[in-house]
Amino acid sequence: MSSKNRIGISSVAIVAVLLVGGGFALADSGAPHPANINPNKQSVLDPSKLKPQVSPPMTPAQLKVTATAWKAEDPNSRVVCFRPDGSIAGGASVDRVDPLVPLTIEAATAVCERGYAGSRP
Amino acid sequence: MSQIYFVDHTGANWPVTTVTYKWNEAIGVNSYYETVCPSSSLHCVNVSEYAANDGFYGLTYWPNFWDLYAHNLEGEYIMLNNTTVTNPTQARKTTCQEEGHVLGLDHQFVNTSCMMQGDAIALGISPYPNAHDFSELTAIYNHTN
Repeated sequence: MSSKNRIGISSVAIVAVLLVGGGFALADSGAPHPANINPNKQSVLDPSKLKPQVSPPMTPAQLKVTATAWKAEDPNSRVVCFRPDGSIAGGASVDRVDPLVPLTIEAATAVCERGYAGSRP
Repeated sequence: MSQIYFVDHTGANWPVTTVTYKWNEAIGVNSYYETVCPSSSLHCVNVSEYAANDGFYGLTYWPNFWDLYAHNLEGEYIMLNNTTVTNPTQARKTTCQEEGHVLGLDHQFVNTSCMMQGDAIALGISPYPNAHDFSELTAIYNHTN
């Protein structure tokens, strides 16, 4: 089974300005590149071009449907946590020591308590 | 394209730096290592550690899930478990997996990918992404909105 093709992009839309050729000092310097920059993908972030991504949020009802379906795809490795009022506090994906054993309610509760205080699966 | 900053709050046991650089090799992903979020307008993901005998190597949390376009909303964070992870291979594999989740990847069921769950030593699970992981990321981020 392959990884699911779900978009997981930042909520901030970014317009990257790419400088190619000799215009980027770092590429010309001959000095070792900083470890967190891939020399094949140099981009310069122009803060003036940053803009918040306008994406419609889900309604609580839509979120509940989406979260429930998401959990159902992998119930032994995904947890959805609910607040006392029934609203969704958030979700979690876990890397389990023994993924073949069904996720117990106690383990799922621990996930919720660790991530979202007062919530339950 | 995704630009993401992994903000490391962990100790020396966790190879957040090298894992972040590895994911940065994916076309469509620009992942950066930081110890402080550079700006509130950027997409920062905190990576922290904890200690509990809870049966988990690591967890990725989505407090706000995602929007109607399946874009992750802000607030995701990673927790890495110092109790269950006891060797460098597992530490690398788990760090790799959790960062992969943040980027949008789900679990794999082949041990050539760090996205497979379980004991990295006993099951021979690679602590690195495989080609399929990278191709999935390219497909995920091959859009403009």
